[in-house]
Amino acid sequence: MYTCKYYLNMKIEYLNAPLDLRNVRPSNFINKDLSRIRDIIIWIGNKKARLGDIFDIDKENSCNDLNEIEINISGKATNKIYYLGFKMRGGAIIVHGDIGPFLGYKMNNGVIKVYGSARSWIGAKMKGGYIEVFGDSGDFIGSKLPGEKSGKGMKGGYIIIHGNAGANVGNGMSDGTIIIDGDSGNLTGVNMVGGSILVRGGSGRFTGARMLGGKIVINGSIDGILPSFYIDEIVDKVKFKKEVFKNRYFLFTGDVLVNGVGRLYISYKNNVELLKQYEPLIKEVTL
Amino acid sequence: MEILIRNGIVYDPLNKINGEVLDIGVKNGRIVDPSKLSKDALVIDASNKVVMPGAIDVHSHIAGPKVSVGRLIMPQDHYMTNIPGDRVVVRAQTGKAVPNVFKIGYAYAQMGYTLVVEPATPALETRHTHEELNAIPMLDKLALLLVDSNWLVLDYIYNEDIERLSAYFAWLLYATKAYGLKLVDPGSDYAWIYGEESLDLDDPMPKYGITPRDIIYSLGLSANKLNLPHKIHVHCNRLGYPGNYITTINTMKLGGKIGGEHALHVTHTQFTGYAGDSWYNLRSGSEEIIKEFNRNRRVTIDIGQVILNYTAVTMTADAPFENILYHLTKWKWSFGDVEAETASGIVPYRYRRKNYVNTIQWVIGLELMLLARDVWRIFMTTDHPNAGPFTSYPKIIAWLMSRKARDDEMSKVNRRGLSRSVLPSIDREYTLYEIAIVTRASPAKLLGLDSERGHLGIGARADIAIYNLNPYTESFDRDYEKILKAFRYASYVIKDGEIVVRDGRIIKTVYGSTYYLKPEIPNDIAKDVYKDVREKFKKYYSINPENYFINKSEIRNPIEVSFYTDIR
Repeated sequence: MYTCKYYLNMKIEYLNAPLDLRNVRPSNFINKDLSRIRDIIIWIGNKKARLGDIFDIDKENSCNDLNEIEINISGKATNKIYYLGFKMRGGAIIVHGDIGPFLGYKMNNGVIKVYGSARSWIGAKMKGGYIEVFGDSGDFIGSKLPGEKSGKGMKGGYIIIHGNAGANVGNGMSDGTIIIDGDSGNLTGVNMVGGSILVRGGSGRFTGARMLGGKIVINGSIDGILPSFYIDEIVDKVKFKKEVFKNRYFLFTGDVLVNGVGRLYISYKNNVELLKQYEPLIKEVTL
Repeated sequence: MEILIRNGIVYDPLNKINGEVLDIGVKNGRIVDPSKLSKDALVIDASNKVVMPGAIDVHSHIAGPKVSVGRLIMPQDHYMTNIPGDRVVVRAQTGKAVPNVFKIGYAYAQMGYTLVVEPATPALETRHTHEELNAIPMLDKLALLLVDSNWLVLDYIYNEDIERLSAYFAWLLYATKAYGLKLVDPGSDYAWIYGEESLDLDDPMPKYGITPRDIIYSLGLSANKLNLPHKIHVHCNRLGYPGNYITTINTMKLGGKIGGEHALHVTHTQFTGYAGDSWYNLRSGSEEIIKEFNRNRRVTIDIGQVILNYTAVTMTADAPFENILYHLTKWKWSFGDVEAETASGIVPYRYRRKNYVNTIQWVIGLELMLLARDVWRIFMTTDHPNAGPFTSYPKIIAWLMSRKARDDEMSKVNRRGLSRSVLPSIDREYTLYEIAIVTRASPAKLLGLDSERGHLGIGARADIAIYNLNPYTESFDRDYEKILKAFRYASYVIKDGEIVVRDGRIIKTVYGSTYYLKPEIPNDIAKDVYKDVREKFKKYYSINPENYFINKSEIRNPIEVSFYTDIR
């Protein structure tokens, strides 16, 4: 698996400016000795610096294959790291601690694991690969940038958050999978064109607003359903990738504001009060 | 500071120097005889390098309220494009389609440009334009006023009072510290207020009943009467509609009727050179336009070359067309209305290689450039940021200078679009001398600044660009990458006698000056017109003419161009 390991340990305990690590990715480490890796350019705020200025760098084995490289990052101020894994093509990055915004921005392939919490914009505009965060995360997971058209967000790959997520999960995503074990904030799946989102916990308001396609599964309680969503049918089980949830789910389609055909599955068990009013509607349709 | 540029291969079309190896001396911001320099002059070794005057861009939207809106409407344009100012001399740069003011200045300077024309500013909002122009480093600038839908102007044209119209322009140009007159889809913004679509050359305007033809003709006569250094700058009617090349040709014919040298400048002709009657059977109208261009010596044109696979932000005072473009793209649209003067629209648009219409657009610009017989009347622009960024000029130079560069791009574009054009059959390749004409000498002549700009004669401003090219030992028609690299990052750029770029890197931030006009008109006529203007302001405007007036102190390094007019 990952035979060639790099250990980047932060020398400093406190940073008051963003630390731009867009050049730290396995493809930049390949076929380089440690002195050249220490010379990789990074930015601290608006000041240019070398990687060796901030990190103690160690190495275990050496290899020529991109997919065998693993970069371990640890330290006290890792939550100030921006753009880690930018345009990453393979290999692995493992963060022991919290991580800052734009983790895996425009990522193509590879694995990123964070043993801590993450901030906003995880996997924004990513095309492939796997991101796993063991703590909570911020807003705009797998999202597009503000101002872009719907569908310019995440285009493939997996994002798994074991904690809670913020607002705008999967904003404008067109493919790929986002799984959130905790709760998600408002506007989950807004502007979504394709792909799938699973929230094992609850979800906030405006879930699926302006969605054109794709699939959202909410297992927990939801803070209201938009009036632009129509009840389609009541199902007894939902398949999400390889998982099957054998519960009663209400399937809504929308968002009709944009002629969307997105599917929104909401668990009946945790939303009895809310979904009761839809039961007569579905009976009318079936009769 | 004294500089001696030694053994450069000099291209200076205004002085008819075509690739001679010469020395050039610079002293106190002016070009002097090299023998007059003292011994401690800084020597730049320019052997095997091309030396040209500083380039001039005649049409590039770099400042003004609509550019600010263009930045706001494209937030994604500024992600990950930030280049922090790493040294004390360089400010931070950001943006691609609509860059920030610092990037505009630096990127132009790196390409060897030293004068840029902001071609459209509403008179009421020119104070903003000047504030933004003041913030742009490295460049000399000037601004052209939008006058075609101005109610006061329409009143004078309706009364056929060319004398007073000219006197009003004399006041307006001095009041707003602008350099010339710009017409954008004449009359259409006024019609748009009344809910009508854009007008053709002979459609009557609502209320006034005059036609765009009357507006262009009257303003042309008025510009001649005022002896303006740069006469009218026209964005033709029916821009962006299939079959609009006939309107363009008719507008160009008007130039012949107005008379005088450089009577009429037709800008971004690519957008107004479409033949065919729908988007499906669109084809290039460049051959017909160039036929008229070659015949008619009064008009000048610039191309507005489209750059493919690029998200541009179209911004123009042609508000009705932007509305149509918004309904084509269905993305985002910003609309601006300036009281009693003009309107504007901003719509982002992506040009695609595989798109039939976009390919035709790309073809038209190059065809115009390559079919033109007189290169002294045609200019290279991208109408930044409408058709492409100004940073793509090296690409256009490569396409003009190398058949292979065109072939390589043609292999990627839409086949059906290409099969309907004559571009694949054109073998012409521009020489460096002709490139120097279209980017340096003729723009200086068009703007009436050829006494001190666009050439390297003694007494000219020391705006010099040195490129790392040698036309005697290298050939560019095969290896066009050299052109791209050399023209994007100049070896040296000298601005007003100071070295600002070395090896493509900014080494000093300087601030250029802004040109404006002061037409001398008789006092009694001036007072009479000002009285008239005060009355009209009470009627039409929300502000007083005193607040309208921009002081000289509001402009960084103003250069006043004072001249006599024919108003008696």
